[in-house]
Amino acid sequence: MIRFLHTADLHLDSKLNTRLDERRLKIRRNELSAVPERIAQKAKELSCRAVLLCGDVFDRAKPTETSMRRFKKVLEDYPDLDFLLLLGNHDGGISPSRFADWNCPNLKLFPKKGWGSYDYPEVSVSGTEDLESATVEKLPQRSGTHIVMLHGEIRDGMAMQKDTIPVGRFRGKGIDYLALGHYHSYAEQALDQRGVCVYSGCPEGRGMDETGEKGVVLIEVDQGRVSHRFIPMAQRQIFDLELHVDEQDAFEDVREKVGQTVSGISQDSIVRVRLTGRSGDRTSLYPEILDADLNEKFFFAWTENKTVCSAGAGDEDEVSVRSEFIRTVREDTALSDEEKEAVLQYGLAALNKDRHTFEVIL
Amino acid sequence: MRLIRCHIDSFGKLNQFDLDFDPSLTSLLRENGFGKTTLAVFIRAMLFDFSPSRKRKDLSDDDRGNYTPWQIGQSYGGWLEFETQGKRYRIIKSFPDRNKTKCTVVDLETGLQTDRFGEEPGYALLGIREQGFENTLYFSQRRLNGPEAGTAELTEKLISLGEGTAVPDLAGYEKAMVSLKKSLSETKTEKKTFDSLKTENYIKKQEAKRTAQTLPTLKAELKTEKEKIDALDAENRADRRSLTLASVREQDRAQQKRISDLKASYEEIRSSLEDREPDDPVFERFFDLSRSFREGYKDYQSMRPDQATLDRYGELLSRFSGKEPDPASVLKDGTEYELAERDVRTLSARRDALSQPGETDERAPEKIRVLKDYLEYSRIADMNKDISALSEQEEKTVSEGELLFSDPDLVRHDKEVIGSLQKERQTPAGPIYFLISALFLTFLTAGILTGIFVHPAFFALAGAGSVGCIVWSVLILMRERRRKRAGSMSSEAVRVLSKYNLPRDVDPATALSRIDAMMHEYGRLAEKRERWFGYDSMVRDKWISFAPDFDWTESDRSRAAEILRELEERQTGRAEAQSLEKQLSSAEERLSQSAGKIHGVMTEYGYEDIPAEDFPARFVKDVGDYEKALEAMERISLADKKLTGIKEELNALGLPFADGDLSPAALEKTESGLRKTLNECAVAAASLKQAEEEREAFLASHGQELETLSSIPESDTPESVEERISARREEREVLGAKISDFESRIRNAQDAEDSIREFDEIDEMYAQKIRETDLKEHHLELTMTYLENAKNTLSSRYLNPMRTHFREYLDKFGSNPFAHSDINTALDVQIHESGALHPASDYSEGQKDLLSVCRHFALIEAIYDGATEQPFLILDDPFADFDDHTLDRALELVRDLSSRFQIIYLTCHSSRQGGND
Repeated sequence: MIRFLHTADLHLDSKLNTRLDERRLKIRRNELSAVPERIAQKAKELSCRAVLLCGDVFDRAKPTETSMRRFKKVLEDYPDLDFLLLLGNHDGGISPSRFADWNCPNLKLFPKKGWGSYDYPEVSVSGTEDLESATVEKLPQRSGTHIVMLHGEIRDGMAMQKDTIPVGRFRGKGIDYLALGHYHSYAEQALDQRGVCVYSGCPEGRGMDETGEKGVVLIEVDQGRVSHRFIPMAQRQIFDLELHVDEQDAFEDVREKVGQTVSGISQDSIVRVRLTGRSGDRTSLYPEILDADLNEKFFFAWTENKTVCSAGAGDEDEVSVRSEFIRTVREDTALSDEEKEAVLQYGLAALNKDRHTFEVIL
Repeated sequence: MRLIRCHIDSFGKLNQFDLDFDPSLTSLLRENGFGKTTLAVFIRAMLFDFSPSRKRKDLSDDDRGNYTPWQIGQSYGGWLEFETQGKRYRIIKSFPDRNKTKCTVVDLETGLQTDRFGEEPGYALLGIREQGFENTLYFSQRRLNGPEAGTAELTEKLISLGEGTAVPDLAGYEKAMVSLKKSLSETKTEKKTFDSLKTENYIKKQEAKRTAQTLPTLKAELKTEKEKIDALDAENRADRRSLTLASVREQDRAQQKRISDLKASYEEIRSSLEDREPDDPVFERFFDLSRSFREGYKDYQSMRPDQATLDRYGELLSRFSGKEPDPASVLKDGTEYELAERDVRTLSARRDALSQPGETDERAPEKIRVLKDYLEYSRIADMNKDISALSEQEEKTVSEGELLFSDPDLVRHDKEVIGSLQKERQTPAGPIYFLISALFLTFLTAGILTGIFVHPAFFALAGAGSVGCIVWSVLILMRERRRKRAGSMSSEAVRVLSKYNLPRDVDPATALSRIDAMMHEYGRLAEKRERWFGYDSMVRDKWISFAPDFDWTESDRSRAAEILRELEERQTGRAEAQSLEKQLSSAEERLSQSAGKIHGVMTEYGYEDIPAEDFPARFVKDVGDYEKALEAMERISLADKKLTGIKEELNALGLPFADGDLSPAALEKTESGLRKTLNECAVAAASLKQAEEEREAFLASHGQELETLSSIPESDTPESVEERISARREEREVLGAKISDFESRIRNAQDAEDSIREFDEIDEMYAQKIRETDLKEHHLELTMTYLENAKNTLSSRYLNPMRTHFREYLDKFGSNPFAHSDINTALDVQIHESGALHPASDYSEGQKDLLSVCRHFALIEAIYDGATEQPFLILDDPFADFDDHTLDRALELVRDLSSRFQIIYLTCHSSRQGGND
């Protein structure tokens, strides 16, 4: 039996979510920089023979020296573990000469043009960065188990497009496992009667567009039988949640609802709660309080107020500061809609009866 | 509303103080420290709450604490009578402790308590709270500076008076504005923090950039240093080549010299061998012959006998030459002679020994028979004595023993019976059975009783007891059966005991031991009898009848036995002597024959001079020596011949050193010298050969170097080149350290370059935060503006009455400089002058006081304009700082006001007294 660890899209050196404060930004950046070490450690724990890096390990064609040094150290620290490195659309510009003087025999690169193959007991691993039709057609044939590494978006059919993988052209080619990179969430689909296409997704989420469980894929080849399973390994999961606010809700109701919405989420997570719906006369939303509540529970969390203020001025004859205020704001054409919402919410919150709460946040 | 009178039990320094109020103007002129302000506070405390620790800036900070009675033990409080809507009431209040107030309002017409005015009568009567009261109806010098709090309430009051309805959130407006201001301030602070952090980050980024900018320079410098080190390495490589060549050259020269020396040495050695080659076969032949000669000579020497031996060889040769001696035959004859002689000697000695006693006893057989008979009879007599000595008791014991112990099975059975008697007597006694029975019966009884009287469940205990009883009964019955069986056994035991004549109560162990003792005694006596009756009765009877009194002692018997033994021995010796005589005569005949043979041989070989008995051994030895002599003489002859041959061959070799002395010592010396020379020659040849081979190998491996030796100067030696390399090594180490430093700095610069991106991220993050705080600041400012506008819009509609009254009062004071003054929504006075609005605080003290008095009266007029009941006013010496003119106007105003408001005027100076005291 032989095992491989399939991963992709580490995007080392990429920019992070700017909502994080400086302290957390540094922590998170360190965590993301340490992903190659953690992957290698995981591969060792799972007794893997090699790690299949299916593209976009680096975020750009000129990786920082720091990232390169750390990556090289991983290769040196795990000499018994092969690292099959395929470059993707982000890091495709890295010249192989960057790795030339590394003296790391366990780093296996694939050629820019044509196919490269590495043979292991019972298993061959092929890969190419070249998705031209001429290359695709020349996929090397292997008698044993055949794993193929590619980076790009898969498309049904045979048509060739830039950075896309025409799945149709790989059917019936004796592929057991098509290891893919490019798509940042785990996904799999049948290739043909024999093989399967698998996106490992990225091992760690970096922005709000990378929510959900992240990890790597363990491939196991035992006497010609290929099996795989997704292994979560993200240090932090990103959640983007929406909470509908009713105009009848008081602030404490909203606070409780937010608490319920995030219940059960791991404390290491990064969480955003978007408040939608209508905030009424009773609804004063104090984002600082909500954010403080959330940040007591999670690594980092914040709310975004997307509600629309529905408070009205009441009767024409009503004599009150509040009525006069709402009327004045609503009728002032000099204010933008966004300004009107903000001014109304601040003003009503200040005039609201939740005095103690207001004092706390202001 | 009108105050009628008041009574103070004790309040501050006032004690048991009473005062009746004039319906229009009550003027109280008292010196400083009388307690005028205390009176004013007392009136307020009667109407409003009077709680501790209230933050206020006027009457007191902690009224309740400040006005604690000075007189110890007096009741803290009093009462105030007033009239409203035509009815009179009395408020009675006391403050028994810091947190407790007792308040009662009594309707003076009915004398009953009433709750018509709620918890705060002042608010119910005057329509304002305590704060409003202090801002309006209570008027002191300090109040002239204008209201500092509670204006919203007054504004609200103004509005409510104008609208006839309450504005619920106007009071909250102020707090809202305070909060918004605070929020705005914090947002600005936050923004400043972000700005500062952004700047800090920018500085760091610039620093990183500067560090990163050094990267090309550092790389260039590194390259230069590396080039230097490469140049050094190139020089080192060249010098290493020189070192190799110098080294080769040195080796080449050394080899050449060595070969030359070895050759000279080899030739010198060869010359001493007469130019023969060391491997010339003549040397080996010489060594062989020399060794053979020395060995042969050694053998020759070793086999050559001494003179005595040679003499002996001569004697033997003369004795045995030409004859054929037969030592075996001589030896056989000698042996026969010796045997015969020994036999004769032995037999003679034995015959001599036998014939010494000489005595022949013809009656010995008869004596022997008699002695034997007497010894037999002696034993019979002893037995007879034993039998005769048996007592009656012993006879009885024997006869009873025959009955008792003749059957061993029966005896065993009897012992078993007695053993069972012992076991039976060891069976446990009855009390235990009794106790167990009692226990079960107790269970049974207790179970029945408790079952009846306590709970039916206890019948189970009775059941258990009854089951126990049944089981126990069965056990007892079984025991009884065993006891019966034991009873039959007991009768058997009685029988056995009586059989052995033992008492019934005898201890079984004692009985068994006594039976054993009886058996033993019986055995002993029976054996005696057996021995007696086992003897032949005929012999026994004959001897008893022959000598009934015969009595030998043990010593007699021993003596008789000794004599018998001697007699028997003598009887045997006689027969032996006769046999010896015959043997002796035969042996003497054989001796004579052997002696004849030996003497014949002795005469033949000339041995007449030695005894015959020594001859065979001597003859055998001499014959042996004769044969040895023959062999030795032959060997010596052969060895001599061999040595002569070797000598001839050595001489034939033609070696000069072989000539002359051919003694083994000379030969050995010559051989040793020759071997040494040959060895030296071989060593020299081998060294020469090895040196030549090494040179060949050297030439083969360093051929190229040898060809290029001319490329290095003659002065280059390995040592000099090594010195140059060593000097360069130090230089290289310095350069290596420099390169290491450059690499470290380059790494730092690269890290700095990498960190620029992180600084950018942080910069962007702070820019985002600043944008957010900007937006928040903008929104908060907008909110405050809109909120203030709303409040102003609302307030401005209801300020007109107050403004009107304010101008009226200004007119009454004739203050034309303030014709363009106004009241703003905060109820503050503002003066339009020189195109700008100025607050009252910008003016002189007198002008400020005047404006304040007008604003105050205008506010009271506005609030209570058109009210069904006018309130009372307390003027606590408010005009102390007025000039005379203004004071007059003010006092006039007071008098004028007293027509509409009840006024309590308190002053300490008669010049400011506004009415009668």
